[in-house]
Amino acid sequence: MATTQPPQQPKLGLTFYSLTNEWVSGKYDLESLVKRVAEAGIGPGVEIVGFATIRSFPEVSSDFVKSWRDLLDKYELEPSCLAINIDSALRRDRMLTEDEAADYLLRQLESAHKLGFPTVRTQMGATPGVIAKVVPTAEKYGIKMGMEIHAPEGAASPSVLRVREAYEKIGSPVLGFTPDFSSTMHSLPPGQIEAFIRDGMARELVADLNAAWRLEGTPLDRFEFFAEAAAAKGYRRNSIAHVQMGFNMFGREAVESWQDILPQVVHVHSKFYEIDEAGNEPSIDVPRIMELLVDGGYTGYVSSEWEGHVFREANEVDPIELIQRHHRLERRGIEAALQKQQKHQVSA
Amino acid sequence: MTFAGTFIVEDSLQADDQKLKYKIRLPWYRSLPLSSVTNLEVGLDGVPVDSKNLRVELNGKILSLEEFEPLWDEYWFVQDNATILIEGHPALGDAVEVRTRINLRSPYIMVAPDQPLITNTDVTTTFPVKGAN
Repeated sequence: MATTQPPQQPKLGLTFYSLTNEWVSGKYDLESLVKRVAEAGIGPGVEIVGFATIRSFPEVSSDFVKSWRDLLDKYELEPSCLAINIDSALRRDRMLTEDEAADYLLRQLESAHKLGFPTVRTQMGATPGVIAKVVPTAEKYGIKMGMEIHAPEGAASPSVLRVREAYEKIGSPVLGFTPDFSSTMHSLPPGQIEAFIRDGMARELVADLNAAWRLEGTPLDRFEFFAEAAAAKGYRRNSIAHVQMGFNMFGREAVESWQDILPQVVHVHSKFYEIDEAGNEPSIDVPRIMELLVDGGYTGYVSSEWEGHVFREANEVDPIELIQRHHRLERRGIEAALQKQQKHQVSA
Repeated sequence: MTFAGTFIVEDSLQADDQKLKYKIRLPWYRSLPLSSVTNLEVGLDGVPVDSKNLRVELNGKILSLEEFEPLWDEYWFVQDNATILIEGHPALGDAVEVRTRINLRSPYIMVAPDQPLITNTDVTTTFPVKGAN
C-alpha cells in the first residue's frame, strides 16, 4: 500500500556551543541569538550547554524557564538537548563522592525537565554508580541520558565498552549515547594545521604530521612517532609540543564503528570545523555518517557543532553561515539514504 | 586556542597615580566554579606585580587569589568580565604592556584518573593609558 507519510529522518539543529566566540565576547544575548538562529533557518533543534547559557545553572529560576519557553515558542524552535557536566573535581581538597556527584546531576536533570529538554548530554566522568542513582529521576521525567562519545574515544574504546556493560546491567530505556563526529574523522582539519604552523610548527612537517595521525595506536604513541620524525629533521620538541592536542581532539575511528551503538543513539553532535568551497567538510565524511544514521532508523536531533572557534578568531568567520552550509551537506546524506530506501521499496 | 583572543577586554585599562585596573573574560566556553582559578599573574612593562597588590573583582566581591580556592559553590558566569585591580604600580607612559596569565583547573576534564586538566592562558596586551574615574 502506498504511504503518504513523510519518510522518517533525523531532525537538524545546532548547539549554541558553535557560537562560543560570539557568546563569550557578548555579541549576543539569549534572545538575539535565538532570533538569529530562527531567521537563518538552522533549527529546529536547539542544544545548549547549561553552564554556558544559563547564569544560575545548575539551577534555573522560574523567570528564566518562562522566558526560555516563550522564546522558543515565538521563534518556532525546539529544545533538543541540554549538555550537562559532572564536575567531580569541583573542590580542590577532594573529588566529589558518588552521592555528591549524583546530586549535582539530579539538580541539572530537574532543570532539563523544567526547560522541556527531551535529552541530556552526559560525559564519561559519570561512573556506573552515579548513573544508577540518577536513572529513576530521568525515567520519571522521560529524559534520555546520552553519554557523549568524543575523540580520542570511539564507540569501541575500552572506556566506552565499560559504559556499555554498565548500561546493560542497569537496563533502562533512558540510557544511551551521544556520538560526536570528532571520533570518526578521516583527516586533520586544514585550519587546525595552519594554526599549528602559526604557533611554531615547521610547514615542512605537515606530511609527517598527517602520516603519524593516520597510524593505529594511542594518541600518545602516534604523537611520539611524529615527534621522532620531527627530531630526525632537526626540529626541537618545543616547536611541536602544541601539536599533541591534535591527537586527542581529532579521532580516526572508522565511520562504520558507530553501527555498534546505533540503536542506543539518543542525540548526535555533528562536529565540524570547516566547509570548503565545494560545500564539503575537509576532515569529516558528513554525508556518509548521515546516511548511516538514516539507515539505522535514527529520528532524533542532530546538532551541528562548529568547533573551528578553537583556531579561528571571533569575526573571522560567521558560525551561523557555516551551519547553514553544514545543514546542506547533512541533507545531501539524508536524501541519498532516503532515495536508496525508496528504490528498495519500489523493487521489493 | 582563541580563548587567548577573547581573554583581555580591549581598551578597558584605567589608571591613576596609585591604582590600575582592566577587564578580562573567562578564557573558557562555560562558566567555572571560582575554585577553578588556581593561578593569576600580572606583569606591567615586564615587571611582575606582587600578588599582595593584586585583586580580582567578580560577582560583586573583591578577591585575592587565595580567596578563590574555597569558593567551589560559586560560578564565574562565562559572559561576565572580571576586573583586575592593581594597587601601587610603577610610573606609566602613554601606553603600558600588560602580561596576564591565568591557570584554570577544569572540574570535569581529567587527563588521568582524578587529575584535572589545567589550562594556561598567557596574553600580553598593550593598552593605551587612560585616567581612572
